[in-house]
Amino acid sequence: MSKEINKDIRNKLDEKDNIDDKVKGFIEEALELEFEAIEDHKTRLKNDYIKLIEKYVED
Amino acid sequence: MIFKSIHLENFRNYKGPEELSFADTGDKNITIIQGNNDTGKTTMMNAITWCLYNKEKNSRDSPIYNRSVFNDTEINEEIPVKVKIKMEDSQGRDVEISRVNKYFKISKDECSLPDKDFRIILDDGENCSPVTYTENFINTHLPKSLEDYFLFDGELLTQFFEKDNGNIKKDVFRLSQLNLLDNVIKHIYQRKKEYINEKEKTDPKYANLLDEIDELEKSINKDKKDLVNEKESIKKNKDYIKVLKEQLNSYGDDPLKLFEEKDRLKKELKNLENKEKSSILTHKQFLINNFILIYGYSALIDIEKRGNDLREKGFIPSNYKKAFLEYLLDQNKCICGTELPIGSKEYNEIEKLCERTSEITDISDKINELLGRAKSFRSHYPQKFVEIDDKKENEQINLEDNIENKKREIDEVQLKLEGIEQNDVQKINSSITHYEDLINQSNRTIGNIETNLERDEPNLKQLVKDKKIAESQMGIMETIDKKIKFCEKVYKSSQSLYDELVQSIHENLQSLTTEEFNNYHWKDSYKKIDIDQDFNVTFIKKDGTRIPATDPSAGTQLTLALSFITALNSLAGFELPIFIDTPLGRLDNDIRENLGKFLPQYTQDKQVILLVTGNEYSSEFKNYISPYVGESYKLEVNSESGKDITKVI
Repeated sequence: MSKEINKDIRNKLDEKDNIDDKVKGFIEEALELEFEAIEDHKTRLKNDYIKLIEKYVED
Repeated sequence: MIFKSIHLENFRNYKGPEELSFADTGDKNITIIQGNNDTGKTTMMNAITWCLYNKEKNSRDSPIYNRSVFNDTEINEEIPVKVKIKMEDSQGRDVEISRVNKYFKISKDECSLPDKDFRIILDDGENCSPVTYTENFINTHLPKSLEDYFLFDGELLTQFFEKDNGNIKKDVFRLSQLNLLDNVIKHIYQRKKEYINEKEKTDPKYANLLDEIDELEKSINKDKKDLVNEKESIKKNKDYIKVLKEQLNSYGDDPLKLFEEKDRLKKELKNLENKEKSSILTHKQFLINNFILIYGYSALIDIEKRGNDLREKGFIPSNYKKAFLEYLLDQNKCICGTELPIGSKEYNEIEKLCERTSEITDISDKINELLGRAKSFRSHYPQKFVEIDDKKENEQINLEDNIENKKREIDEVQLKLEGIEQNDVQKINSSITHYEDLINQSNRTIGNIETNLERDEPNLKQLVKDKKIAESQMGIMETIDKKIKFCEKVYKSSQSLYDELVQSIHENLQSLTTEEFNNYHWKDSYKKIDIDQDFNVTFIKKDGTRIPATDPSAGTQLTLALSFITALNSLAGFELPIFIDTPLGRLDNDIRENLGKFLPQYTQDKQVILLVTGNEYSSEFKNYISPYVGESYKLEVNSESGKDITKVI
């Protein structure tokens, strides 16, 4: 996960044994998407999410 | 973001170019910028916010270009105002943010509107490229809404908790990046809904089932959260009531009853005093009405006595009137008209009778009439005057006794109430009633929630069972179902992560703020800083009472705000420096010393830039801070073209 994301969130996510790695990976990437999101580009963010979900589901 | 340096040119009293490098993070992470009042410390802060947000933190109406440069500039010539901040981002890239306003002097008094330029350049050591969405870059890395958490005006920190609480909560969530996770939850929920809609087109029954499960899960989660909150709220309100009741108990007997008793006694005393007043008046009236009779009584008795004497002597009624006998003697005549020569036996008899007869016989009729009137007068004398008079006097004595007793009773009650203000007791009682109402309200809400859960949880179980049956009947799980399931997993995991983070950030913020505050502040009467779920901040005193953050002295409020903000800054997801303008102005020496001692500890790994006056940066504070100072500057003012110019030394 990028250093820009709060280390407390990162650590808490790592600590959680009841979340499988795939879901953890998705949440990390989704947080980065949200961090980099541009206010006026909502459709782009939506498409990024769709791509991300497809990537994780296909894996 | 690490702030590396700032470059100023023609910005207000900085004629420049002036450049300052900031101490990096590490052992020597503090930069001191020292200057007396009006040397340009606040202008430095304004330059930073102007560069980042195109707005000065403390906005002023006057033009931002340097007045001395303006005076030296010819008409139609350009005056560039420039602030450039160099930073390093978390990936080690150099970030250069520069804002330039170019003014043209159009007359001896004014300039044209400026040509504006704002750019951000990223340099990763290999490529140097401008940022396209500059505003978005700033909003992502140094959002303006969080300006208050890295650029503090020491003088204004006391007003920090006057900010509406909803905003503080929002700021906390934004600083800790919980808002990002919240957005992930919202987005994944939205995507899931869309997949369900897509599925609905192909399998309406199954999609409907998913919809119902989804709604029910949301409702159950909300109810469970509300249940916890309501239970916590009951616990908190019970604690408040306990503290308030202890306060009441410390007064001894039930003070409110005593106040009621005192009011009742006072009312009774007033009644008695009115009665006494009225009794005295009636008595006086009685005495006035009978005044003549009372004071004439002895005279009447005397008159009667004398009348009786006269009667006994036979003067009243009189057999003869002395004047009549004298007349007979003078005329030498008998009563029957016979001549009585002087010296005759009859004459001598009459003479002797005359001598024996009192002159009073001449007025005996009048005296007799007077005696009759006196008798009648006496007959009107109040028969039971003494009895009535005594009764009235006794009545007054009784009233006086009762009044004295009542006053004694009031004094006794007052003694028990010494040092207790009725308003305080009423306030405590109404607070207890208020918290009891809240508890009742929470209990009712809990009742409703539990009823909902009793209904919804079995329903959910049934729906999940139905869903599994439907899935098994559908056979092969389609991609779309996989997506829905994956979204569900992400949604639930993010939600539980979010709940845990809210809890842990809240707890850390509370304990760190308390620890920092207690280290800075000399007073040990504050036991804890309480931060509730809505991020309302209150002091808890050793005796358990609560004081709003806005109540204590300005120095204490400033210390609390500083503790809260630095604690929050250290919990933040953002890499933010801490700039503090005039941090110590309102603090007494003990707190200054403690701040010098502990601030470096609480701001480890943070860049700290202190803009201080000479008076602030002295004695113990300076001794403690000095080992951590990496860069130090002095601001001095020179005069050029009749205008003050700041020089960085």
